Amino acid sequence: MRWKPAQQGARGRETCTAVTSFHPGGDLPALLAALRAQIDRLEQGQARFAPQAARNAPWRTGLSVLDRHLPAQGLQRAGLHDVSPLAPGDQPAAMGFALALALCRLDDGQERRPLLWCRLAAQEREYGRLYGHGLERLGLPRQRFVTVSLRKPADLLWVMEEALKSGALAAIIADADAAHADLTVTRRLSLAAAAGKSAAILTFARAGASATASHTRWLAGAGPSASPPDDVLAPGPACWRIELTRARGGRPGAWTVEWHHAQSRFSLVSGISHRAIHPHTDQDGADAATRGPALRAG
Amino acid sequence: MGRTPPPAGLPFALVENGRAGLRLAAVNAAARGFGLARGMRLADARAQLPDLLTEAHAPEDDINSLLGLCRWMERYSPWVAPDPPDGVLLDVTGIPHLFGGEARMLAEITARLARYGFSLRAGQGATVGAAWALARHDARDLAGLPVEALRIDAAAAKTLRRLGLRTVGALQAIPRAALARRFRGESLGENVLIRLDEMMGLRDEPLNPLNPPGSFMAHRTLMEPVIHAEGLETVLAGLVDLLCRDLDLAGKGALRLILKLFRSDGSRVNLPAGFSVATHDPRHMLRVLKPKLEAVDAGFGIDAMTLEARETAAAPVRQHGFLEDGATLALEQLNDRVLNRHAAPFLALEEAASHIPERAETPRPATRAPPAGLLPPGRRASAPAARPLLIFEAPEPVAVVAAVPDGPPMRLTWRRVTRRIVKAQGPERIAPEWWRLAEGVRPRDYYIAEDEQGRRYWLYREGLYGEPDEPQPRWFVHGLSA
Repeated sequence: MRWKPAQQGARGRETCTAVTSFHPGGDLPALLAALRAQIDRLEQGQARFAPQAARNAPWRTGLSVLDRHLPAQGLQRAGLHDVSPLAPGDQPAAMGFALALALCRLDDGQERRPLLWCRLAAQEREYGRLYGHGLERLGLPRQRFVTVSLRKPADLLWVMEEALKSGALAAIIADADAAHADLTVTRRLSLAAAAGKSAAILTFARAGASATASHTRWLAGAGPSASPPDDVLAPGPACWRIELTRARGGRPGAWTVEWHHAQSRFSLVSGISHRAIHPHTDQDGADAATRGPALRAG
Repeated sequence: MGRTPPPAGLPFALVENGRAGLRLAAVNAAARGFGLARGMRLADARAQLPDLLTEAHAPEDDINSLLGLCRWMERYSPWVAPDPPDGVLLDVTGIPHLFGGEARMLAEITARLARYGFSLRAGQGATVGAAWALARHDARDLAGLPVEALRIDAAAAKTLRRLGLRTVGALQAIPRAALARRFRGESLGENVLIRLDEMMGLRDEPLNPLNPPGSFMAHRTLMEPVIHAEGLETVLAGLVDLLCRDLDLAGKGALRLILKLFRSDGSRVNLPAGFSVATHDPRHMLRVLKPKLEAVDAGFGIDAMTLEARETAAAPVRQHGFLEDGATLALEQLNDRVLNRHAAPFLALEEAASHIPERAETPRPATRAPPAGLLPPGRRASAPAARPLLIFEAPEPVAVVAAVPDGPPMRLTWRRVTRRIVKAQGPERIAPEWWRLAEGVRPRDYYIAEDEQGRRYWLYREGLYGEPDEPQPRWFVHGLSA
């Protein structure tokens, strides 16, 4: 291992407080965790100026099986993430999942900034415009919601970068156009997100977009929902099939989840019964998650 | 005016094109001494006085000179109005005591202007009409003024004289009704009664000041024309600083700005900018204006710049750091930048008092919403009704197959794709609002329908079965749920 912390320290003197040396046969998981933390600090250069530890706490989805696949047990708080639909027609599900992720970020009790949703006029014509009552239904109070609609994808990216840098918003969800959101653009957005301490989620109209500089990439699609017990013919809470296709410092995986808007939390769904695993057994974990017969994890 | 003045003491006249050749437009005192007067033909004047000096009359120079004089007069009062062609009106309410009284103030103005070479007459009165008349006619009091002093046209004055009414006092003595009957002309020049009332203060006559007090502007003239964007930005930064300092001192903020760029070839570029909240923050102003400046074609160079606040409002005094006010301010400023660049406002969706889904909320500018920091973060007690995440502006007609006519949908064909509906919830009937009841508005039955893949549609059936004289109910997709 040719990693030399002392030389890196010349540029960022204070980042290398934890000088770690590699001993074969040492405590490998602890060492990996320390190294990951160090890379994290190097990546978000200004993290050392952050006044509160809470601001740097990971952005947990609240679902332990899912969080375990993510670096540092959660998403990058001030980072860029993107969601694409699993199949054509899954756009509303992908948007719903993006909103659910953002709500996990908004709901940590310290965040009071609102959420901005940037829409493209073409997307609004195709899939409809955002409906405030529907957003409330998914758990977003309308006082914390702002939207803007733009005609050109390039304009939208400008607005998004400005909005991220301004630090006025907790999270920004934006319709993305695969032709415009390339590696350079997404890298810019990622840096802007770090500068403004805001989260950014891009929702693509189609799966298979080119490479992006996102911290995590997701695919999301609709799944058959579980009917409520009192009405077997009615649809239940929103159910999504999600795939984590890329995670910097994490592992890919696939799950089927339900979104409970009242508590702003996900729960895992077992494949056969279409029933949510009981929330209490799920919370802690591993046993419940691995026991599920049709759990599509890993 | 603006040119070299004629030698003092020599007869001089300005000439203009008039009826039957050139005529005198203005004469100086020396020329008047030789019996020349305004309106005379130049040929006749030359016959009387062969060595008369003349210049072509340029009325626009007169106006410019008058405006310049008005601006100079603002040292005496902020409320100065030009009175073309040859007058300046000052509202000096509350001012004379600063100069030691009305008479001394008038003397001071007269003396100063005379020193600059103006020949002038000045008058003071309680109304615009009185001051105008006393500056032009000699009289001991208003009643002694000739009727011409009323600012009426020559025809009206002549009629009055023919009637034997030579002074204002004589006019006042006769019944008003008679005057009103005789002079009921539409134009002010003909309406003697209106002019009389204005002079006597019975009728209000507002004065339009040249520069309304409280206007904020900053101007900078450049030594050499500037073409480069960086140079212009430096000048702009200076202007913004000046303007913001003035605004700050007055406790005001700008809502609308206009940046005027004067090109060296005489053309001008106007760049307007708007702000959702009154601001006197130079950094913010600069960030909004800079992108606009980048798009400007400087041509041969810009040699002057003016930044003007066209609309101002009391700027809110902000206390930073309390309840994330900083974030609210940042959002407002962000909104301004987006609005000025892309004309796309940030919208908040506000609940409206209607149960018709498309009318149940209205978008409105987000910055006018109550600040998010002051609202309780909690949710409403009851669960919100089942509504889709996305809603179509215009519901899309679909083909639906149902097991029973007024039952839930079984099969749905939307955008040429047929979907089998496996789960449906409904109907939720939404009747038209009775106060908007119009022909062709029918009740709707809404369903949330889920297809085999779990995609959800918000459908409605418009109209009821079994109604005579009504067309068959139709189905629409109104929204998509996540």
